[in-house]
This record gives sequence, C-alpha cells and structure tokens, in this order.
Amino acid sequence: MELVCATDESGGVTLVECVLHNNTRTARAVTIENHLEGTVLEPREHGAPAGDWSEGALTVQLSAGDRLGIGYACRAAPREPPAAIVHSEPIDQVPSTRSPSDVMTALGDPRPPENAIAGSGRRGSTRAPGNPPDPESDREADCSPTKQTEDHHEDPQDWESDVPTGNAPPAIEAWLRSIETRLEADEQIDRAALTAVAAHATSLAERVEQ
Amino acid sequence: MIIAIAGGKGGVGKSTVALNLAAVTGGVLVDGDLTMADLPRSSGPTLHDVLAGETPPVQAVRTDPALPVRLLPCGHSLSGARAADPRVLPETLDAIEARYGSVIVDTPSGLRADAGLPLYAADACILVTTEETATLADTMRTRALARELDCGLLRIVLNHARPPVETSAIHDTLGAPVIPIPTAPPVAEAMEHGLPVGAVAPGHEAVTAFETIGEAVQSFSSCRS
Repeated sequence: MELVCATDESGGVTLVECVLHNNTRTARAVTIENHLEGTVLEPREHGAPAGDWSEGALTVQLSAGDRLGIGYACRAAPREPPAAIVHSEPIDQVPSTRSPSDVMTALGDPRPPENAIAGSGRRGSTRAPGNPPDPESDREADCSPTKQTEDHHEDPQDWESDVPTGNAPPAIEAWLRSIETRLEADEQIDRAALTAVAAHATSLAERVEQ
Repeated sequence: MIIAIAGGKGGVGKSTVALNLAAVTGGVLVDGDLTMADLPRSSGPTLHDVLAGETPPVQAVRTDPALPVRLLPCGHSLSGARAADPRVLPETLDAIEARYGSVIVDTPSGLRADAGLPLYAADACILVTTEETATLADTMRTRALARELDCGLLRIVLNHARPPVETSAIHDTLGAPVIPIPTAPPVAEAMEHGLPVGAVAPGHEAVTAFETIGEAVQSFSSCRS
C-alpha cells in the first residue's frame, strides 16, 4: 500500500490531500490515521460529514490496483507525515455498494412515459422491456427530427408547435418539454457528426445487404 | 477501459469530443443518448436493441473499415427508447470493452439516470464545457454527480475557447487539467460530414488538442493495467 500526502495551510487550518494506492494484488481494507495535532474536520456533502472518520482514523476498502483520493482539514500546523497507514489487511473483494438499479432509482428513469408512445393504448402495441419488438409501432413512433421536419414542416423551428400544452398528461408534457429544450439548444449542431457517421454506417450496411 | 464524455449542458461539444477521441484512441464510440432519438433510420441493430435484450452488445458494433470510427449508434424511435432498459448499459459497456479494449461513451447532458449510468460504468470521465457561467454551473453539477458515482475526472475540455484562454480557475474549481479547443472552421466542417477533424485538417491545433486528450487516456489506461 502506498499513501502520498500533501498539505496546504491557510488561516490556521491545514488542508490535507492524500492519494491511497493499493499496489498489491489483492483487495485490502486499509486504515489511515491523522498525525496532525487537531481534530479531523471531514469533508461535507449537503451539510453532513461525507466520510466515515472515527477518532482521527478512516478505514476504506480498495480493489487491487485502485487509487482513492482522501481529503480533510485540521486546525493544526502541518507536519510530516500528516497522515499514515496504521493497518492493512487483505479481504476477499470490495463489496459493491451500488447497483445500476440503485442509480436509476436515485436519479430517475429517463425513458419516455409508456403512454407517450404512438399506438399505445389504441393499438396495444407498446413494447415493454422484455417484450418482442413491434416494427409497425416503431414506424409510427419515429421521432427523428429530420423525418418529422420533412413530413410535416418546412421549418425546423415549427417543431415547437408540436408540443402539446395543457392537453397531455403531466408526465408526457414534462418529457416532451425536456426534449424541446434540448432541441432549442445547440445540441443538434454538436450531434450532427454522430448523425452523419450513423447514416454512413447505415448506407454501408445496406450496400452489404444488397 | 471505459471513458464517459460528459457535460452538464447540451450543445457544448460532447459529441464532437467523443468522435474525435474515439478516432485518436481507436476506441468504440457508443452513442449513449438514449432519449434524444435524432439518428436516421438504421438498418442494423442499435443500442436500444442491445438494452432491450434483442442483440448481443458486440454484434451491434459497426466495424466497417470505411467508417471513421467503430460505432454503436443509439436508436431513433420512442418505442425503442421505451423498450431499452438503461440499467443494462453498464454490462453492455463492459462487454464491448472486453472485446475491443477501449470504449468512448457520448453521455447525455442532465442529471438523470441516462447521464448517471455511463458515469457509473466508466473508469473515468472527461467533462466538456464552455466558458459561459451557466454552462460552468451545469458542469459543476455533473462533476458532483461523477464524484458521487466514483467516476474520476481525467480532463476538462474547454470547447469554443476564445483567446486569451484562462484555464486555471476552471482547473482549480473542477480539479483536473483543462484542454482548450478553439472554435475553428475545420472542426465545424468535419462534424458536418461526420469525420474527425484530423481527416479534414491534419495538423490543425484542434487535432493536436484531441491528440493530447488521447495521450491522457492512453496514459490512464497504462496506469490501470
């Protein structure tokens, strides 16, 4: 295990920045300890202490090869070393603390609401995750701005008028507004290259199929 | 190695950076914008199909040598976006990494799960921003999200940088070296045609900047292996 620390004193407070590197071949639980003569002031997130410091020590788990940045403040003068490893032991593996489902639950499902899909309800053809695709529904639900523009409008700016106001369920309106906001931004210019590459890939694939 | 190209605000140039970085590193470019749905109709499988469990990830990657990069495009339909399960994205990226070694994910803006899951899956991220105050504020929010999801910050790309370029405040605030990319006609021309800048203007300063970012990615990759 390797611990590299740096200090920066300002106004009687020393900021300690450390990088802990597990340069061994196994996952390890490691305890580092503050060596400055003062109480550890932990970093805070949303007003609450963000670390798990206890009596000037912090225990973390690192997979083999991983690095972890650790920072804290202390009302004391700097000294060398400001912190040191006091315990290290191998563990089987670092337990996963968060799953993709946890992330989606915490941040919100980005998928369009089910009843925003053309044909849903009326045709009963909306695909739910795990259900087979419905090509017909896909065609009806095409939301490519390019195609919409060609089919319905001369001017892409007219897209705005496609967004219902007051007539759609709130979830659909919110989702459409988020898309509308992105269309109004410069995002379409940025994404033009990806569109062009994908079109190129499609034409190449179609050439192969022919 | 999976690198997420992220930013708080749309239109800052994430896709530009993603395409050019995939070109200089040889990584697979994954269009992770699950809900924008602005790509033309595709005759092949897309990320939507992969996330719906209909196509294995590696089979959906377009590898035609005539393409400027290897690409996994996203889908284009609302029903495809609805059927795609974003939670499958991390294992999808892992599978592509296992086959091709390097993955560059163009990550949507915002703070929802479609922005968070690429950061969750990535080994590190590159944040793209411009100098505008509102954009920088959004970039800071994405920085906080990346930190929350244990995704390290490799570099910050300051796009549309206007001289004199002052990067130290952004470096200090966000906590990574800043690479300025100037606004230049070759960049716009290349993007219009779906090409990396190097294919249009070899030796241009923007190409040099993308190569610098590529070297940082390669160096990071070497450190991990």
